[in-house]
Amino acid sequence: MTLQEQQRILVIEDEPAIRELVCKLLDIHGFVTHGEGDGETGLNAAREWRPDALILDLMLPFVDGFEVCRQLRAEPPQEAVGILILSARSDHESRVRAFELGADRYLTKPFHPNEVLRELLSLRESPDGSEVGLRRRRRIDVVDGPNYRGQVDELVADLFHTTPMAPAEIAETCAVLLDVGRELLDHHAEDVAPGSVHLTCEIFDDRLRHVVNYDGEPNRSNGGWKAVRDAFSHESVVGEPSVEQKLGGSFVETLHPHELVLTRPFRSA
Amino acid sequence: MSLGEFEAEVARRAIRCFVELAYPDGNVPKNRAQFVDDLDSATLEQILAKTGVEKLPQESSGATGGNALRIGNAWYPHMKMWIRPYSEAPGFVLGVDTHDDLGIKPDHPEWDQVQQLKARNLELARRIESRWAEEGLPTQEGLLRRYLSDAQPGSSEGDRT
Repeated sequence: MTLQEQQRILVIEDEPAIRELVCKLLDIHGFVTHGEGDGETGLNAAREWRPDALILDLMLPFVDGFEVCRQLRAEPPQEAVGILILSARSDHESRVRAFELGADRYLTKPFHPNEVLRELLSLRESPDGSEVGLRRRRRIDVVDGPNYRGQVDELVADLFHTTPMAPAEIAETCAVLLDVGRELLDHHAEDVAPGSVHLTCEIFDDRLRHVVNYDGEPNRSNGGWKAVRDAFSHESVVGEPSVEQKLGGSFVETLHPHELVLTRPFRSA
Repeated sequence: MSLGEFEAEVARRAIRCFVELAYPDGNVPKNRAQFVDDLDSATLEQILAKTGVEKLPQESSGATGGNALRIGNAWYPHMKMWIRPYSEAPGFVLGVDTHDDLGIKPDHPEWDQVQQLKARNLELARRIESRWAEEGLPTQEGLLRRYLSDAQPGSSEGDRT
């Protein structure tokens, strides 16, 4: 029994091939799916079929995805449905508008199938309060060195401005992340493709959560995932604290495929 | 994030394919025809630096970025081709942005005409992406088929790309 079994997903996408393939993707992962090709029939299906979540394109004929969001959020029976936007529109305005109208998640095309699965699974977490107190979320992609370093630098600024962490703790956290990224990029390039590892740092009122995701190809050997797990948890050298100890917690695998999570409470909380 | 194996020859093929389907009678607007004529001798850097090629915003996540080219079509000048990076080989994906969200409400007098325009644009966008896929160029549909084919050995999902 998997977490997503029996979860009903309505896919509203006007491109028949994409709609059919997304439904098939979800079917093989245990979801129950239904597809519609425009906003108007999609709204009707949402009202009648009562899905747990919607995968919603924005550019739809007759009634667009923004309007679908707006109408569903205004109807009490539908206001709790999870809405994942899947759109070719990557502009800031579209994202802001979608979130203002009630979207929960937003993925741009091209999307990796694993991203869709991950976002759908994460939609289930919101209602139980796990997002309460979330101040900031920053995703870092383990790509080339300078790009990765730049993203970690941005995280440093977030930690300084939004957490009670001491400067020395922030410096250590970021040094650890840089070391891990360097190790993956320099020593595991054969198993771990650049861009296949994502680290999401979520800053809450009382804690910092590190979420590591690996999007390696499904049929690849497990070498990549093993390298990622090792990099984030192994003992470094004798007498030195491990990566986990330096980050102030322990990584645990979650129900999501290829995901590790470490939560570190703030001392002052 | 880089565009992987997106090279000048790939760009030329993708752009020419778009233009051929978008302007089936060959009446390509002068500036766009010139753009296509200049492709032969251009490097990828030169192609992406040309007037009319937009750089798409790259988020801090690195998840998006890439470029968009406003090539238009015979009845609507704003339709775009986009190239975006992708985390797996070949490192990029091609797509069509109909770019026709005109913000018109159903009570607008031109609502029906706009819906017809959008339907026509969508149909063209699908044809362009299908042609790219036939020519072995990566599209979102192709990537999904490949994933499903890998996930379900023996399935024929990969055959159509």
